[in-house]
Amino acid sequence: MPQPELSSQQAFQRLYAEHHPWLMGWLLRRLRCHADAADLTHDTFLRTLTSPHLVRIEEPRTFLCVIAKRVLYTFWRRNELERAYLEALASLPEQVIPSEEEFALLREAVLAVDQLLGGLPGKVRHAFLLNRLEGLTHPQIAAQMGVSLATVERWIRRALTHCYLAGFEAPHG
Amino acid sequence: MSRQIPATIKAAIDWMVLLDSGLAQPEQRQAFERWLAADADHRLAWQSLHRAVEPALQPLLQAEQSSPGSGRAAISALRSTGLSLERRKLLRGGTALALLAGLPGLFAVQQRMPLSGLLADLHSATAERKRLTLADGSLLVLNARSSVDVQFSAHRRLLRLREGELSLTVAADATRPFEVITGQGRITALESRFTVRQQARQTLVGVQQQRVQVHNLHGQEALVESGNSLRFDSEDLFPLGPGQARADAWLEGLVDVRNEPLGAVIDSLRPYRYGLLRISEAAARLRVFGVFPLDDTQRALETLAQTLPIEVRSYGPVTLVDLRQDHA
Repeated sequence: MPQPELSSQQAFQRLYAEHHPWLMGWLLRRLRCHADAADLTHDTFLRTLTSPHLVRIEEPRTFLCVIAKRVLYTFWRRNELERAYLEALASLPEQVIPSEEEFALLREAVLAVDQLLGGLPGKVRHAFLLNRLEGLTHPQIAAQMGVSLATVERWIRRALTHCYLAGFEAPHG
Repeated sequence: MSRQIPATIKAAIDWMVLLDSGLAQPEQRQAFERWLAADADHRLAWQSLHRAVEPALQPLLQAEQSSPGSGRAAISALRSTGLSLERRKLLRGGTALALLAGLPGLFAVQQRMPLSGLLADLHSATAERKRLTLADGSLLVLNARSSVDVQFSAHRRLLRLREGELSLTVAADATRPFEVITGQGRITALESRFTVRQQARQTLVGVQQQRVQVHNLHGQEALVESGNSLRFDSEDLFPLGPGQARADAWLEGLVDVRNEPLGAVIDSLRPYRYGLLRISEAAARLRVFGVFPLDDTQRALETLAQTLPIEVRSYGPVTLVDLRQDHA
């Protein structure tokens, strides 16, 4: 029952008390790892604290599910990206192994770029990265990806527009 | 959410697209200078576009300069978007997902996705072996960090091994031979049990029951009998004969080698270890005998270090295997 007079702190305590075990179970079924599920349960509840809708939640489990899915997505995406990056690094010649500190920084940098480009289609991302990171020209990108110059230009424009707009998104998710 | 972009930002984006295209003519560059000088709003727009794009990319650009290749590695990692198919399905919700804890992941996938006649992309994660029954009753096991496409039709049964290693116990079906395609050729079987490993430029086939036929891309053929194995690339076949270490020991979580280079053992451990596992060329040439656990790579490395003149050093996620100093 929605109770308008509830403070947001009370609302949170109630949400936590009533749905914590259920959310933990929900995450555990997907993660199959107790420690990860406990971490992400904690994360999900933390995020509900900043939600403006907390006091007026009518379907708490649906609401928690939406947030938990986002938390889970970020967690998995992070894992997969880290693995992909390590695998790509593994194919480099021996002398360019990054040090532990370098690796930690690079991993964060890769995650930051991934977030910046989140939501863009793979080809658009790829064309943009070839342009900005490898310094390839549009004709080079067109040749490498087998598309027209006009397409490359459209993709780069789209990626730049996306980056610009991403600066205005709230820093969550 | 759709947001209106100010006209000056649109103009700045157009300029950035042009200037970094490699196609900008000198007079266009001059036109850009004039545009920038013409209005303080233009300069602000240019700056805010820069701020939106550059800070995130800067660390990778710098890394590429200090360790060439690391930026390119980032591009290849970032090329993928979103999540693996299996995880996407988990997020899509729906309690019908047969995800009972403890079941190997692919049983769950199989129950909600008809594998026959469909291009399926199955893969296993680091340190994970997956076991599933295909639509024809054949048993497929994926070694860690492996992926395959499944293509079944009325006329053929086909698996494409994209990376890693698989074990297949083929169910009898005389009208539809079973084929496994790798980067170097194909393996055809009627009713047998065998393993296939995709390596950098080679394929390794080991047969445990019955026999399989191998064709490489160059058109050479060989019959591999039970107990034997064969290594092949696009142009040559290298029969290894019996007496080799068990190619299918990984099914039991072991790597079993008899007089193989340490490099090959490390290759087997790699898919079971999070992070980067590297070995120097000198150490990779050492010969190894023994049985080592895949599911506990740390113990495997320690055991190797006790019997071989090597040292194993870990730096966070990076593990290096090298000859011991007194031996180098």
